[in-house]
Amino acid sequence: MKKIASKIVSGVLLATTAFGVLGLSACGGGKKVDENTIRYVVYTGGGSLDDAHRIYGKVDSIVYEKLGFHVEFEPYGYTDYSNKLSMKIATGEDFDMCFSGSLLSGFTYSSSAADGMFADITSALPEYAPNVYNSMDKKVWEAAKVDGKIYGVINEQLFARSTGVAIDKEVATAMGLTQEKINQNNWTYIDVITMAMEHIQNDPTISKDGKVPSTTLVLGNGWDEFIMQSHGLDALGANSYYPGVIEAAEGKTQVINQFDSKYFREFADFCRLAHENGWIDDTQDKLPVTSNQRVRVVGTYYPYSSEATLYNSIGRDFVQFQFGTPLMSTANVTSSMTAINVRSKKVDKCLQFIDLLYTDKDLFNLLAIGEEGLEYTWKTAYDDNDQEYQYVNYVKSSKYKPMADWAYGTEFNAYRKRGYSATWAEEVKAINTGATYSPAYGFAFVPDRSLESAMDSAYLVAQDYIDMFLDGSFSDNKTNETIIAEMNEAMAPYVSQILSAKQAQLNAFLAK
Amino acid sequence: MENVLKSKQVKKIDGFNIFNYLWMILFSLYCLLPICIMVSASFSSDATLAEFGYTLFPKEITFEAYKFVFESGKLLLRSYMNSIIVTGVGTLLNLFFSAMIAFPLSKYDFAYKHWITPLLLVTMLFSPGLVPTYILITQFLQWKDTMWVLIIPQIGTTFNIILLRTFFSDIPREIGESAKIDGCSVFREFLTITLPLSMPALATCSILMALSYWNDWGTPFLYIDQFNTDLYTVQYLMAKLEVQAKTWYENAGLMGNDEKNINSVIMATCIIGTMPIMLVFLYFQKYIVKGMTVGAVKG
Repeated sequence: MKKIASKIVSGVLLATTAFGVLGLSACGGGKKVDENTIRYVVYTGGGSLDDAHRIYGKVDSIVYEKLGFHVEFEPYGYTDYSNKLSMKIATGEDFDMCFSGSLLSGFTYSSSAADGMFADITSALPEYAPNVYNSMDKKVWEAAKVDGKIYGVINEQLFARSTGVAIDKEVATAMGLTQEKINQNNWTYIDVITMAMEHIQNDPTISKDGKVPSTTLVLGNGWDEFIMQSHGLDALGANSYYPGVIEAAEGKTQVINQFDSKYFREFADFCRLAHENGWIDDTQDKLPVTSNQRVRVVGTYYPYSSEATLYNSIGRDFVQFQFGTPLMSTANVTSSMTAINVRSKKVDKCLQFIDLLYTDKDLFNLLAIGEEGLEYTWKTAYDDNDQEYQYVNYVKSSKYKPMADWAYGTEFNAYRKRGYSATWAEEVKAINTGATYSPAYGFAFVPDRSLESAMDSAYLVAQDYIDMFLDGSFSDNKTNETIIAEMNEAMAPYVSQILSAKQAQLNAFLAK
Repeated sequence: MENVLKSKQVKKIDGFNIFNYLWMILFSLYCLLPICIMVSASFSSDATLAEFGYTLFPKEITFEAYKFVFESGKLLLRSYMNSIIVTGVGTLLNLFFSAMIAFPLSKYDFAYKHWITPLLLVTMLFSPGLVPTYILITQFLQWKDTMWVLIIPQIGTTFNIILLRTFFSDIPREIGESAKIDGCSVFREFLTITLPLSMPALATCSILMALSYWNDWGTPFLYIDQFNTDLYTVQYLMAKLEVQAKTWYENAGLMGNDEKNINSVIMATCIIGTMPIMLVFLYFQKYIVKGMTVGAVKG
């Protein structure tokens, strides 16, 4: 009797489990798609988004009023973005548009478009987003093309990158340093930094007994901020830590290994010089923001940007100088894009929303920085011509800080910041239009899966040695030549196949 | 006479013991020093760290890093509560179900153990991958943004099942048989005999599971929406605060004349995230040792 009972119970349990599994398998599929709502996966800089619902609600109301449909936002921070978005795409979760760009490591715009993740908007773009499309030259849009088709909307900003070095205004004035003088004498950034640091070293009001205070010189995070950009090297859409670049500013299309070139030697020599003179210490990769700073490599030269930032953080005026040839490359132009999911049925609505963000400055700033009075206030200042102007002043206690206005559309729509000239947008656009185009413009290297492992290995070697020079952990007993030789030996198994692959793809592109 | 012998044994200085103690002291210092440096850095400012580096004692004590972290206030308390609930409930459920699965597998006369055990081992060796798991949890089970996703996926881990099964197998068969003769049911045998005798194994599993639950930030990262702060765990909140601090730090110029401290904030979040579980671990450790030294079967 007991045996029969236990068999019945086992049978019932088994049947319940089986039906439960079958029942669950009939479920799923996520929320039903709402035809009148577009879902936008937004990129944020990692700041607080505690109050984002309020902002997103307001943006949605304005969009509904003007365009007749709703927009839902799903924000991901920059550390989560690539992982979460790739998961969303891989699992078929519903969304319509997202941020994309060459800066997303492992998930760049070019590779994502080549993998078929984004919708082809070549014909839809001029029709549904004419303002955005016509705001940039046709040649600029070439960078957004993958196999001849456009898969994303370019978020306009400074594309033509070159290196900037910000120097304390008092130091620069005492040295008589001006941009004209630098250009006339063909001084490189190394020349200027060396002169500035020697001046500081001999200034008893700054350096006691000839010893510069810690963090007087800040070199920045990566070598591409001053070598790649100051020499006009194009990494062909890839990160500059992968071997294989072209000397684009000189119009060359031969792919070279930048780590076995005069450029890397220059970088290594400069780092050693800075360490030996005590200008930097082993915490340089931390980018400290301290009041000792007098000379800072700001990476991309962006008029007024670093002056405003440094004034706000340190309370002293700085002057930024430009080095190198501003270069238009595919990676620079596609660093910030807005793309549409290939599965989306609302391409027209997405493009209309993008176009609205472009034309409605208040809407753009509402999304990018928030509401007046809560996220920012207006303050008055005087420019170099003693003209009064209003600039946006961020409220420190606000709970909405996306910190990524360049990810939401055209950055030139942003409200004026402190220290920016009234014609800032025009000045930056002029840099773009007057820049040199890389001969590989429009080309982005898309590696085969078989090459990814070699590229990752080469990247790690490059990262180790670059960090070694930046933080001064190289051996004093070894010369730079020896260290560089060791680095290239470690990369040797991977370099030739990477360079060949890049050259082959580039040649095929140039032949078209 | 015996007392004299015993006192002689206690007083004897053994060279090997000296070496042993020295080695243990050095190794303890080796383990403790990074924690001391971490605590010291959490009470320093980035400017001090940049100038003097990481030291055993802070050059200048500042509470800015903790102030930044505790600005979260209610959110921090909430996340602690969530972590405690998830860890406590998850560990208990895991132990219970793992033990229930392990118990029949440890029986010599269980007919199906020869094909259930390999099935379990297969799940340990081969993972379906993140994408199918994500699809299962979000689309079929609809557990996204729920407490279930933080607890249930880790219940019944194969490693614990195998460990408990092995321990249960070592319990003398005769105990169960004599209990059966006295009218004890299988479930009662499991509850009143097997589990009490398996305290060391259960304590070990509980520690492993508690650590796993407490330190888990990958699950909330994937399945908890950024806005759903009610379901944040401590580790996830700490990870978010680090990113916020870094963003604040890199944008200090835009935000105002503030020198924010990213490195000391990172250290402060490490302290806040790990100290509670370290204290719990230290407390439980004595039970593990006690459980190993107390005999289960006498005579």
